[in-house]
Order: sequence, then structure tokens, then C-alpha cells
Amino acid sequence: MKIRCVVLALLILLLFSCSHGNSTVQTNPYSLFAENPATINWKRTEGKEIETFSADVVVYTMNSKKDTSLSVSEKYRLTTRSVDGALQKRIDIPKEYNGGQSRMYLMDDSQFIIANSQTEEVELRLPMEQETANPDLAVFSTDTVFGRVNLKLITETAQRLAFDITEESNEILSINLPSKYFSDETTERISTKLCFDISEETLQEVELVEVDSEGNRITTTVYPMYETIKGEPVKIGQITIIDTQKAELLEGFDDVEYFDSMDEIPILSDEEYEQLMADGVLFEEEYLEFGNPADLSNVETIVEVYETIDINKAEESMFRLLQESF
Amino acid sequence: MEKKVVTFVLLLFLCGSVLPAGETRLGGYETSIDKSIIFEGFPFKSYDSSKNTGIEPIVQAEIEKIAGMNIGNYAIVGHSQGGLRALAYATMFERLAKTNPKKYASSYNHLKAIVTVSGIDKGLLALENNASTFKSKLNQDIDILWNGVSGLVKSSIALEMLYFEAASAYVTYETFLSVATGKKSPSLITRNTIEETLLSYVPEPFKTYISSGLRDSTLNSVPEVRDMCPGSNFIKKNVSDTQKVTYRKQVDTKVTTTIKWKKVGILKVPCIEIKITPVYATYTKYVDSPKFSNNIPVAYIIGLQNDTLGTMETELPGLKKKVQSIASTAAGFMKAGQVLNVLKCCSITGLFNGNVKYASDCSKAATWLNNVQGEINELLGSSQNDGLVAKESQFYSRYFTVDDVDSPNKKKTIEIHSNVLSETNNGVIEYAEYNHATIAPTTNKTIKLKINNLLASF
Repeated sequence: MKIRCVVLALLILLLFSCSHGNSTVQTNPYSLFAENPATINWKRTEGKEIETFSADVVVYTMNSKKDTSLSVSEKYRLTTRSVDGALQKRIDIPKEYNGGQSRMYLMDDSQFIIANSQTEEVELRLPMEQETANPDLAVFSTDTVFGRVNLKLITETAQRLAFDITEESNEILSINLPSKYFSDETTERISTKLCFDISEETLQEVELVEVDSEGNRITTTVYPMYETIKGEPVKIGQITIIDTQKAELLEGFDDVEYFDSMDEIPILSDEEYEQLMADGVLFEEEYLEFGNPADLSNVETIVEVYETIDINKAEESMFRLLQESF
Repeated sequence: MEKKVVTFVLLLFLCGSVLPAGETRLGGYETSIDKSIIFEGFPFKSYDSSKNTGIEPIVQAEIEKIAGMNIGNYAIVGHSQGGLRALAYATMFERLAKTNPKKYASSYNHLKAIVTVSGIDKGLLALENNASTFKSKLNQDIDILWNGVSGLVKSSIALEMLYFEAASAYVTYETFLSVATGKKSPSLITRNTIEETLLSYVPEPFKTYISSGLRDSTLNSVPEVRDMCPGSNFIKKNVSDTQKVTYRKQVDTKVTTTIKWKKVGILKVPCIEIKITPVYATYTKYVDSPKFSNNIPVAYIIGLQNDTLGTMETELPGLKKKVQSIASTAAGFMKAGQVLNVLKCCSITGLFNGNVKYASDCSKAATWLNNVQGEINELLGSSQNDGLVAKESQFYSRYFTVDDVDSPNKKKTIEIHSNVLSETNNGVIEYAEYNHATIAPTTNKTIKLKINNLLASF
């Protein structure tokens, strides 16, 4: 009887604590993580941290010109495995998100393999071109972004190389990397900023600003998302904002009317809708775009949500194809 | 190679309206009325834009020709742009009959019906806003493909060895790019290269029209194209002064629940947060105001097979299969580029090297290439089309219901063009199995028979 009362009380408390959100269209990328909480299975092994990392990744995208809410654009399974400091990686993409062909893609420092997911038959095996990244930046390639990074080593290296470092309230460490490392013949890098959470020792934000060969300014900001499990931060996804500001407007759009957002469009009542449909004068506008059509500037939001995360559970055999030689 | 064909297709669909259709022909079907006259699609190939000022002089010439024939009762059957001309013909002829009845009234009175077949009756929706919408969307498509190529090039893979199977032959990435663009190295390809490549595969004389259309904001250098734009002066004056209004309507509700811990008194309890968010669809209302007389009955025969590549098969046999194969292969390249870039983002280096953006760019290009017809539909302005013309552009409404200002809470019906020539209520006869080309009344026996039946009632 006592148990029943407690359960009842809890249920009542639960119901009363229910709250209703607002009625605007959901565009907040952070809410996707609350709506789709990650399930984290961590096989704890003495002395080992994250050796293998697997996640079912659901990718949501939204473009400011075309979309009014985030929608699923892709799903895949990501698996990585650390072997003697080197990283083996694998992605499995179901056919629904791969042009009708389910494939697995494997990569390490020396090769890239594309194989049929069902038969494991190798379709393509390519040597990886060696990265020509500056050795000054090598310290950043030693850690994955799935958990803690070696912030002490990163800070020491950045100080030694006299990178621009700032620390905010003993919480956030920002490192600005010199643009000379990144510009190429088609793109001029304006700035590169990395922010780390000092207490969690995790990467908090990466912001790149670049200008392409046509003068378009592109700002890419990446926010890795973490959840702390038994004191250890585990990556549960990532939010990326790609803001493309076009240098020039297209010509010939002087008198074109447009809407900046869905809110500007008048609402049609059910009654009006039925009548106009019956009259045959109403048609769905499937491809409405927002903003000045002459301005192709847009903001792309990409949210990668890791739904099921397995740590130290991936089998070595998953990377068998990488062991085979050319 | 993939890009070459895909981009070619992108522009060629626009040429659908200008594919050779022959000259306006007189004579036609055996019907109970004396004659029917076919207005075929616009003969762009033989038309010299420099000598004309648009469609109006052509319709004028057609009126003069028919008025001088003394053929008795007749109907006009207009296919494609011929549908637009047929409706303008009725308006312009009526005007002439009023201003110069001696010369024109008798001949005009013999016009007994108009049938448009896949007609560009309201103008080509793809050319909305004087083709600026098309220009905007096409430029976005070029951006998607160009960024995809850039993302793949910057993925640092041994590109010269990357290959996929296409049409029973293996195509390497480098071969594909160099053949498609004429550039020896991917690093020499710019965004302009993509656009130039696209235009280089559009055959003359269409290339001139398309190039001018994409660059000339007023379209005055291509008056025939200008006049086919919805709401063009030609259409407003001679066919219909149609107004468009955009609305949104809630079509669904998205309910999401999240559990959050909240403090209630001394207890911390799970709290279910329910978010109800409306999902809207957008709609366009057309308020038509036809200029052609309601005394002329009109029927609208509409194709709904939205298969642009299939539409072009009559001109370029085998194109559809080829494009699908090549686009699929190109999508394979882009997917490989996406995955490579995603995998590089497992380390901090990948994040600050820009691989996140490259992955997104390759992903968008792959999605585009896996959905060529969908992307063409977007350029056409609607997925309900005949491969070229949106359904909503192919007919005028019969009635329009509005609030009756004299009687509150009551509606009244306003006549738009009520005189229809069809067994259907709105005068529209749909054929889901025919596209813009296969529905042509000059070659399609079913359509011929249907028109004969429609005209037999006279």
C-alpha cells in the first residue's frame, strides 16, 4: 500500500511538473540533444580510456534559405579504434542514405577502402596522400575529439610557438592559430580559433573564417557536445554552423518580392483552404525560398546527434580489411 | 563526364520549350467542325530574335494568315508555347474584330474553341520573376556542385586513382573532370568553369537564349523568352492579368518530449517537457483575370509525367539512362569525399583544417546528384509538371469564390473563365502517363482522339 501511494504521488508530481513549450517552429539545434538523449555503453577496462568509440550518428540539417526546421538528412555508424597511437576509422552508411548502396568506408594513415557492407568485398582501395600539415600543428592530431584532450601538452606547445593564447575566467582557453598555416591558392584563411573547456579538458569550439577566390566570406563554427559519464566527458554529437556571406548580389532582381521568414507569410484558415482548393486556384509551393533571391548568402546548420554510443566494445575484426595489403 | 551531362541536362530542360517543333501548321484533325488549326511550340530554331520584338508579332502574323484563309468554323489547338499563343490569339483577334470588323469580325466569329495541350498558358513557372528565380536556383545548384568538387579535391585523397563504375565502364575522377571541363587538373577548375561547362553543352541557337537569359536582367535581348515569363507584359495584355498570393497553412503538428530534472520542494523529480510545434506548408493562390472572351470555350489537356529527362528522349535518345548512370557515379565520388572528410574530423586537426565544411559540401553534392529529377523539379517550380511546365501554369480557373460583401457569412462565385469544353468540371483533362513531348497532339493518337471528341460537340 505504501509503495502504491509513493508511486501515485510520484506520478501526480510528474504530471503536475509537465510543462508545455512555446508554439514556434523548432530550430534550436541544442534541443535535439535533449530530445534524443544518447545511450552510452562503456566497457570499462583497467588502465584504458577510450580505445574504441562507436556511435549511431543521425545528422540533421537546416539551410536558412530553404528550411524552417532541422530535418534528418543522413544516418551512419561511426567507429574508431586506437592502435599504438594511430587511429583506424570506419563508417557504415545504409543504402537509404547512400544512393541505394550500403557501403562501409575504412581509413587509416595509409589507405582508404570502400567495400560492400553485405559481402565485405572491397570495391576500391586507395593510398592516402600524406598530409603536408605543418609539424607545428602535429600536437592537435594526437587526440581524438571523443573525450578529454591533452590540454597541458596543447597549451605548452602553443606557448612555445608563441600562438595567441587567452584565458577567460579560468574556464575557457582560446588559441588563435596563425593563418599562414592554412591559406591555399583558392582560399585565404582569415582566422582560426580553438576554445577548450579548462576544467573538463575538452574542445569546446572551433571557428574558422576564410575568404574564397570569389571574395565570399565563410565562417565555420563547430561546437562538439559532451556528456559526462562517471566523471569522464564523452562526445555525444556536434553542432556546426556554416555562414556563407556572398561578396556580390546576382543582377536583375530589382522588383522581386520575397519573404525573409515563414512568419511573414499570411496564414490561410481551414475554411479558406478548402474553398480555394475546391475552386482549383490553390497550389502547394514546395520550393519557397527565404531572403533576397539575389543574395545567395546562407547559413547552414548541421547537427550530428550520437544516439547509441559504445566505448571499448568494437571488435578488432571490424578493421580486418585495413590489415590486408594492396 | 558526369558533371558534363548533368549540367547539360540542367539547362537543356529549359530548352524544352524551344525544342524544334516546326512552323505553325494549318489543318489538323477530322472533326465535325470544318477545320482545326495547330499552334505548335515556338520554332526557336528558325526564329531570329533580332528581327522581332517578342511573341505578339508572331500571333499577329498568325491572325493575318488565318483571317485571309476564309476557312469557316475552326478551333485552335495549341501545344506548349502554342497554348499561350492560342489564348493570346483569341484576345488579339477579338480586339481587331472590334476595331476593324470589316476585315476581322467574320473570321473571328468562326473561331469556335481553343484547346491547349501542355500549354504554357500562364507562362513558364520556371521563369517566375523574369527568370530571376531560375537564375537564383541555378546559381545555387552550381554552388552545390562546385563546392562538392572543391570538398573532394581538398580531401587529400589520391584523386587520380579514385574511380567508380559508370555505364559498365570504370571512370576515374581525373578523367571525369578533365573530360567534363577541359581542364587538365582539378586545381584549375573554378566556379566559372562549372558554369562555362554547363553552357558549353547547350547547342546553338538555344545557348544564345539561355546565356542571354541568365545574364540579361531585362531579358529584352530574348523577347520570346521574356514574353513567356509569368506576368510578362505580353501575358498581362493578351492572356491574363493574374495575381499571385502566397499563404501558409498548418498541415501538421510536431510533438516532442524531453525529460528534464526539476526541483519541486525538497525533491528533484523528472519533468516531462512537451513541445508542440506547428508545421506549415506554403501555397500560392492564383487570382486569374483572363483577357480572352468567355464566349470562346476552352479545354486544357495536361501532361503530368514529371520526367524531364524522358521528355528529352525524343531529341536525345538514351539520354535518361546515361544521365542517371553518370549522376549516380558522380554521387559515389562525392560520397567518398564526404566520408573522407568526416573521418578526418575525428581529430582536432580535421576540425580546424575545414574538413567539416568539405564533408557538408560533398554530402550536398551527392544528395543533389542522387536526386537529379527532384532538383530539376525545383528549377521548374513544382513537382507536379509534365517535365517542363508546372501543372498550375497549364490552365486557368473557372470560378473563384469570395465573401459576399452584401450578405455577411455568405459566399459568391465570380466567373473567371466558365466556358469550358470538357467533361470535367474545370475544363482540365489530365494525363499522368504523358510528358511535355509525348503529349504532343501532332503525334499522340490518344490526344488526337480526345481533341476530336471534344470538338465533335460543335
